[in-house]
Amino acid sequence: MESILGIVNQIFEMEQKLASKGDSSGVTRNVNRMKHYLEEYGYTFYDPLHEDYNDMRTDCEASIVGDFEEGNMYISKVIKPIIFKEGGETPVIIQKAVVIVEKKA
Amino acid sequence: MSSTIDFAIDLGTTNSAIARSTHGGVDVFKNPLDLKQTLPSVVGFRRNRIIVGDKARELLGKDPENVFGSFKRKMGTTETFFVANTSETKTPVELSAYVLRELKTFVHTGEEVASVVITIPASFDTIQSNATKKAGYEAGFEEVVLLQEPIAACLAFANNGDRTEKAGKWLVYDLGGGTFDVAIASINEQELKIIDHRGDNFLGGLDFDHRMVTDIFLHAIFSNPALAYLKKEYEERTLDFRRLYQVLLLKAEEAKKQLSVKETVEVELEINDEDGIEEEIIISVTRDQFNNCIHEKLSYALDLVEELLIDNELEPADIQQVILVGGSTYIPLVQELLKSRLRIEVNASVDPTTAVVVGAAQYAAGKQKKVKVAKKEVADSDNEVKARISYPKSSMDSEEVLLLDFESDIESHFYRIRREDGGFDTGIRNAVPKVREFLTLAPDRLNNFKVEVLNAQHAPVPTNIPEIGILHGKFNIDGQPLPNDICLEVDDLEENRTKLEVVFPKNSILPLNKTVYREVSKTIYRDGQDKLIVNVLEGDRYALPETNQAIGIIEIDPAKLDMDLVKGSDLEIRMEISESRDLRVTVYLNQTDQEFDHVFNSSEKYVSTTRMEDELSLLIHNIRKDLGQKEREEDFEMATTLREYLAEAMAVEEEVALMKNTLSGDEKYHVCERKRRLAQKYDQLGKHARLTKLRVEYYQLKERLKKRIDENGDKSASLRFGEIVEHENEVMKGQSVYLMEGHVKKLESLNNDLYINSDEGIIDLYHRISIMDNSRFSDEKLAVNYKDQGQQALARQNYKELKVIVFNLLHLLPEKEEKSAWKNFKGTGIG
Repeated sequence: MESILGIVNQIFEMEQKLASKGDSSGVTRNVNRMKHYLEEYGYTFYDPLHEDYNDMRTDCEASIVGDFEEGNMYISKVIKPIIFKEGGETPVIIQKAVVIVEKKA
Repeated sequence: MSSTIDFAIDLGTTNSAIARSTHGGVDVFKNPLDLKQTLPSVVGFRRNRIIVGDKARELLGKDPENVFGSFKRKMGTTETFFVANTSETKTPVELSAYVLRELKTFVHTGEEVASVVITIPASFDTIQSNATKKAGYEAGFEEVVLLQEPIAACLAFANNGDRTEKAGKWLVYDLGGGTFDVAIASINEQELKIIDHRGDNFLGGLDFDHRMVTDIFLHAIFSNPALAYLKKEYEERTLDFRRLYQVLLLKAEEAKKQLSVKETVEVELEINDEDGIEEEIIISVTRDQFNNCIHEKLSYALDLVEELLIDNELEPADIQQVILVGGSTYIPLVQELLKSRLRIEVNASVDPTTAVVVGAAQYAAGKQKKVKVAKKEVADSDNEVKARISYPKSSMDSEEVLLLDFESDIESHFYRIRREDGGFDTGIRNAVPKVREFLTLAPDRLNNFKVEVLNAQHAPVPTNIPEIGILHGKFNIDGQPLPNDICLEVDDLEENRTKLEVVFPKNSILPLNKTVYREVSKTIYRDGQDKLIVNVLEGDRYALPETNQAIGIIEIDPAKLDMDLVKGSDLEIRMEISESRDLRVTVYLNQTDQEFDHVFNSSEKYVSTTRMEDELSLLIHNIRKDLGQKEREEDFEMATTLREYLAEAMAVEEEVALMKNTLSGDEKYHVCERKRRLAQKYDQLGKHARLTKLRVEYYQLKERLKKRIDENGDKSASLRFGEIVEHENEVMKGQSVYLMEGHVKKLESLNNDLYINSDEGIIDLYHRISIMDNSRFSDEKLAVNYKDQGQQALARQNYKELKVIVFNLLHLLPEKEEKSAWKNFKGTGIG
């Protein structure tokens, strides 16, 4: 399980790098392919960047920068994504996102 | 019901856990919200909501007036915690009770936990111990038995190994996330007791993370000229820097874990320079560097150990072994320093993070219960809390509102709503007659929520509230469903024909998109005639491909390829269908890095003459084969129909051949439609009878095989059998002769393998081959020789040798001509 989570986290990081630095050599295609194979094994991930944050969101482990103001917080950085594993009737979260949360400007 | 306590709780300063002893050992329960075995001992008060664990820990230090941790240190004191949000005062006992109640929710077995063993530090005096007991009773336990943490840890290790060899004095070295404790335990056949202990409540793993950040990461960052400006931000503790520091702390924690198993780790960081341009920095951290950071802290911990030994007039040599407890003992330097400075054997054979709760559960397994658990009252509909609920069944938004109207008296009650996948938790909230709660939805899936109503002691009470399911993203009630399956035609090289692979099943809601990954099934030469054909069909996935309607086809001419497309190279086929049913197909060839795409309009039909010729050729081949069989079986009625079909198929084939030169658009569609209708009629002909025959064949074979496998107890055969049978329902429902045949073949193959691997089977096969005329073998002399050897092996009852001989003889037989081989198979080129 640990290894699979490690692979998913690496793919997530690759996607982030491609998004910020561009994809001059067409690596996105390979990344999508890897995601497809992981999906076949039931693993999907989700990036909650810029979403609202409140302390009912147990799908994230938040490090809060500055003050916490209820109803006015957002996810400013995602270190690791939420990872779901399909299985049984509904999917389960096998990794919470590791995020940085701060007050909206 | 068990007469012993069985349940145990490690109520820690930083983290807590709950476990239960079972016949096979101990189960440490996991948090249903995140599947972790530990719960941070932190409680937060958010307006009228109470949160316990991870979410509360996030706010620790951010909201000190409402979020409290480390209250265990205050147990038994008069110190209280004023909660600003509620203007109430909470005692350490009350806060501990919240943690204990939350731990109860980890017990997924549905058992009523009335009696429990709770662990306490060796340093706890009578007042502190009684305070812990009181917290247990407040949490709803009827019987609380206390056990010292180091004793619990010793039990876990003692029960894990050979107790007699290790009798003597043990040192319990407990280094957790935020606290350090060391105790000397005396263990023998009769008793296990703690002689003395020491501790530091402010030393643990988190300190090591901070040291890695300040001593290694920041040093590397500040020495990068583009990032040197951050030094000033660090000194001023700006918001940007605090954000960066949190990221660095998370990276440090990760690196620390990796350094327990690796000598070097590389930490990648992306930090903006003064102009906002992202600078990538890679910091290589060695285990030696990390050891240097934490050496001083660990030396201090060892000083405490030595003080403890001196105070008790003990030499390290008097200690039998050191047992390791707490997650931070995974750090290799901890063990190295203990070994080098004290020269005592270190035992790390039990998971240090759960050793205390595991040992406590083992203790609980031998402790008789004093209270009897009252039988759970059967939910009486008159006593249950009634509520009317309303919520949308589907949503495209990231959150949806749930309305709960309580019809029963819910004074002094609470409620809690949790998402089944663990991604949402309201915490414990005061129940009011009308509740309006926003539920956060996970994207593109069904979100199940469970609503619990709790009594004053936070124990769940029966309600009429069902589980709530909200489907996110996938279902749009205004969306149009697909009337038929949309499939891709791919080659089946074993059967020398093509088959359908469903891409979008019937009733999927438009718009749709999906990428299918396949391999090229045959080498396509640039100077050859074979094309790569991506044929998208609409119809029934279980029918023959030629009976379906082509809705889009891309034929890649070999001349367009940059090089020969090698068999086995990868293909990516992306299909997108818009709401107006336009189909876009994009084919990417990985080997040549070429992309082909086409948009097919829903009002047009697409016909490929090449595919049509191929399909007709196969159709004629199959009809002829069936006709021959029916004639042999003297089924004249069926044979007459097949003759008519054959004549029709040949007429269509002729028309296609003529059309090649004069092909007008309308003519092409007409011929294609004729072919499709004929293929449909042929597919349906006797389909019911064929399916019935195959089903009977399948079930008879299955029965025989099951008996055979049960008799010989072959595990791998049993596994293969199970895998085949597992898909039985799917195949039976499918109404596809083709799929049924494939399924029967799988059973036949298993049956053959079992036959050939059994002594009776191999003897039988040998007899059948040995009576064959020698002239049938490719090398007569060798065949005679093998037959003689076989006779001798048979006499010696050496069936392994006989098997080899049988295989040698089989190799001398000419290969059987494949009866059904269709020589002209061209296929699509997609495997």
